[in-house]
Amino acid sequence: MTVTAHAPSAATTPQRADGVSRRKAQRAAKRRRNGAAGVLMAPFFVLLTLVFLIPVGTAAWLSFFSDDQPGLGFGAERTVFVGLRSYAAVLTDPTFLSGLGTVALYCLIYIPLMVIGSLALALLLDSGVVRLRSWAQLGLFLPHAVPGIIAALIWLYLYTPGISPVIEALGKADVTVDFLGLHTTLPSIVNIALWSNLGYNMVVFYAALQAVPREVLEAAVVDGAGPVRTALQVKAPLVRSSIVMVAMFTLIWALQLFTEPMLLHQSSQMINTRFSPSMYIYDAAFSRNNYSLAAAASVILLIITIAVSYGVTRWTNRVDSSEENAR
Amino acid sequence: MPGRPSRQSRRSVLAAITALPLTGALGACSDNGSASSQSNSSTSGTRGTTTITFWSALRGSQEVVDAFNKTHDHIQVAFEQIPSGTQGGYLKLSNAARAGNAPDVATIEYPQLPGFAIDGVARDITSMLGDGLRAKLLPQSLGQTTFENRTYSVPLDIEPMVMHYRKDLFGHFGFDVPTTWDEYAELARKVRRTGGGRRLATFPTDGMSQMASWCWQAGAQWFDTSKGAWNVSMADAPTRKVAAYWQRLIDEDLVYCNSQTARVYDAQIGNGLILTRLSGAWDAGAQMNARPEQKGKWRIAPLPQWTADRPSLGTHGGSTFAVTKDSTHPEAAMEFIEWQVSHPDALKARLSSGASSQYPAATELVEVGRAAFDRAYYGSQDIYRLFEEEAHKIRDGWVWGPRMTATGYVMQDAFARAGAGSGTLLDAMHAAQDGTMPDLKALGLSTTQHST
Amino acid sequence: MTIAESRGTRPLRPRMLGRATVNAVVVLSVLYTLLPVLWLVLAASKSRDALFSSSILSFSDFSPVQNLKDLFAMDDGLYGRWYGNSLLYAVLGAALGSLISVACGYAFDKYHFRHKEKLFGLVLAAVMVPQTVLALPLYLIASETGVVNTFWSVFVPVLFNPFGVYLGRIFSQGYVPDEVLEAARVDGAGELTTYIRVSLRMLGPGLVTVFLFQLTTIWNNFFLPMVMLSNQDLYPVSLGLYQWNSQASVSPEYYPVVIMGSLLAVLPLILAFVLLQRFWRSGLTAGAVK
Repeated sequence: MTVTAHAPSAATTPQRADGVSRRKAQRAAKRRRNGAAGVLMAPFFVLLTLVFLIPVGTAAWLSFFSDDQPGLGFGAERTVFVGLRSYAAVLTDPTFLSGLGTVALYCLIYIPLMVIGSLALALLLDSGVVRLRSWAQLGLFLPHAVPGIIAALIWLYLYTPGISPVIEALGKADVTVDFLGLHTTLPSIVNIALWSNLGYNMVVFYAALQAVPREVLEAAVVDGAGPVRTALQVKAPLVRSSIVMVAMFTLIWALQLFTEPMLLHQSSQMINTRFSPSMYIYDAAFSRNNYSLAAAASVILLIITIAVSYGVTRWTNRVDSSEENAR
Repeated sequence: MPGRPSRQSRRSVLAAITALPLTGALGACSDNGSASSQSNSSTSGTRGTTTITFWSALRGSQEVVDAFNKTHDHIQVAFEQIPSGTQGGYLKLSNAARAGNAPDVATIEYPQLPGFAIDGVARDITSMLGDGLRAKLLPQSLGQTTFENRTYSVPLDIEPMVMHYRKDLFGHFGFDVPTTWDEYAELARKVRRTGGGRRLATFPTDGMSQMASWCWQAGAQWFDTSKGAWNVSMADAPTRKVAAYWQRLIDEDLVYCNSQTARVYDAQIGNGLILTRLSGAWDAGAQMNARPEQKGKWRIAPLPQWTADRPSLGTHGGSTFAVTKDSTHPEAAMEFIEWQVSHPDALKARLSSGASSQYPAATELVEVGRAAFDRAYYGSQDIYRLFEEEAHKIRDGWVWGPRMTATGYVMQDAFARAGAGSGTLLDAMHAAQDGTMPDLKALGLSTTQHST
Repeated sequence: MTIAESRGTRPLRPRMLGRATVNAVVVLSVLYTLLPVLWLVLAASKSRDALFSSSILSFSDFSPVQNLKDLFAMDDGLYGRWYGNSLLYAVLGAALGSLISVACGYAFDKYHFRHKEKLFGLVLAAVMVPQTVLALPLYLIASETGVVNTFWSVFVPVLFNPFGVYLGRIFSQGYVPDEVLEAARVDGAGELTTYIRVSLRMLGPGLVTVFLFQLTTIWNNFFLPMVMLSNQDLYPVSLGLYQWNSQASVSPEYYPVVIMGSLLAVLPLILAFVLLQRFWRSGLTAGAVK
């Protein structure tokens, strides 16, 4: 923590007496404020150091070192600097790359569905024609109060033949679906995430839409814009910052994909222990006891997350500024 | 955490099932045990008692420990029943070792032993292993626990793969017991044609250990350490032969293809939909325990051979006992291990649980097992005699990999995809090798990838 | 939940057909979100055999009380323990964590010091870092220090909430006018006294929002306890149910208790959201607009 507190030197050039005392008072006030800021911020930054900076540093350190044994590995261990060896191992591991591919595909399906879906619902609710609007919001929001693991449990059962009324109903219509089959696992996971978060993001968008000034909308009506055009061409652009924020947080969460596949893995052989990068890290660390590999994979996931977030921010900023210029 | 999901082997599931009802009954036993041990130690007077800790997921372990404690006063064993390996038992062991409080004696299955030896969890016990005990153990079993002339654990049982078959259904349809894999495939076609909707067997999509056993038998060498480096060749010529064989059975729809931990597999056995189970000798006891209603219907025959005049075999299952690096009483731990693997009372105690048909690695115990095993379930077939004949066919020189559980997972994932029509069993073997190499390299091991 | 309909009537009148379509889409969406929860409620009241055999809507095998009893009797009442643990981790953790974060966010807003924006950038960066990345090093650190597999190994990391600092700064900007601080200073009140007596009260709704977010996050927490804990007695509900579910494939008697246990685990958050909705909606707005 660097809350700057200039150590005030007692020996100041004597000036006019009241000036000195005023400056002294100012300094004392500043010191007090810095002290207060320090006290208020210290607990958080202690935590930040303890559970963020040190672990990130440890992960980076671990990824460059390894407890090696020569030859077959049955001798004594010694910790050696291995450079990029662990990174090379991760990046040549087809199971890690396929996990990355899985998450990339997951993001490509999930994020557009989520953003468009929740924005559309918010626009519909905001259009003023929906009956029992607050009840609708309550219903849509409810899954957010369901913990992720339990959402996954509920849907797992809804995907399980013999328990699921969905499969039973489809069966009666002569449709057999294996929700946990070779090509259906990813859509099934997307569905769980969508179900959990749709309502939450809808509320975020709805709140942003409520803040759109009424005059803007009235102006649109005067221009002869219908409700659909108003929604798409007037309202949606005005909540763009919310869209970016929702997309960003959805992306960060999506890259961490862990809970849902971890649970479904208990019931489907089509979801393996290295299904996503996060599962790969867990597997490398705790089932393969390969810390440097896990650490390298962690750092790679971290870099990807930061790079993608940074890229998205840059891209939206550029789009923003180019539109500013166009105006 | 112990609940880690995994496609555990058939064996571990059964172990988990049987472990549950046992614990209640065992509470009483252990009370007796401790009561008698107290009286023992009080009468033994000045001699101090060493207490060692022991973890195992094996059925009947509590009975064995009680028998040991009853007859020993200078060593007492504190036993903890832990989840089977892939159900969290191995994770528990790794975590404890990392925290410096692993038990004195741990149970480790053959495929996982190289990993625990490399990680330094299993202690090098070469110097503590007396020649007497060494001579008692089947050489093929001890070969599995010795690397670079250093021994890391003591084998308890060695489990030749055998063919469990439905004698009643074979008789009903007039099938002969196959002795070669060609005959087995021919029988599979017959069953498909005339078996009333049945299949000869299930190809286990979670069956790394079965696949390994078949390839072992055929002469494969997935891992080879003879040249001072880990040579990995999981798609060598014998493996390609085995993979192609089962692929054809799957393609022709002659076998079921699903996980053996799935409920559907229980139904396949329970409803008599499959006629054979290819698994280790231990599975005889597990079957007895899990499906008492099928009493008398099963018999056991040797596993089919590729060439009848040059028999060879792989193992399926089997456990060993290791002294861990954290043990403060390694000598006492060794004494307990030696008693457990070689004393007749130990085997009798284990078989008394009624759920075990383990084939002991100590050859002189085979007769004890023969006498103690209740043959009624198998129509008084002398299965231990069969196991004994089969055990000598086990091909020497098989080596498990340094991260066998992980290797197996990658393989089994690809088996499952192959079962769903995406890729082949041979692809799965390539995938397993490709998914294993980065692991070994990141561990800093010397590796090569030659293949035949 | 009554969400204020501030602009209920708009001068935008779509045609009847459009109106029907809009309502149909919303109704379908609500069914999509509600039916799985309804299934959970119905399934929790079924006996094990009925769960697998009969139709979900038949009330012939109605045994919610029995299931509840089974749930709390299973494995020597482990579930009650897990529930208590979850409450402890979540309520205590969220209360303490939100106080820490909001205090820090407030300081970021009201005080000026060198490298302030750089530090704030660090906080924002921490928001983006996946928890799975931190798990292994946290575990190893906990192992080294001997706190692994204790209450603290889960409790301390969940206190850390950088997003709460971000929200705290925004709330401080919105709710605590600088003039109030100046006035307090003129009155000679100490900085910390002012914070506790004046600012914190004004930050109330924001604090509740951060608390609620953190409560949800901790109640949902699954990865960290999974890594840290091997003692079942310390598990939170999420991890406990995960483990019971893994046993259900072998021992089906776990199915009804997992379902009933899931239903109970959903209740506290629903309760918290309904009771505190006045506050969190403002929090969402703040987060959304900025």
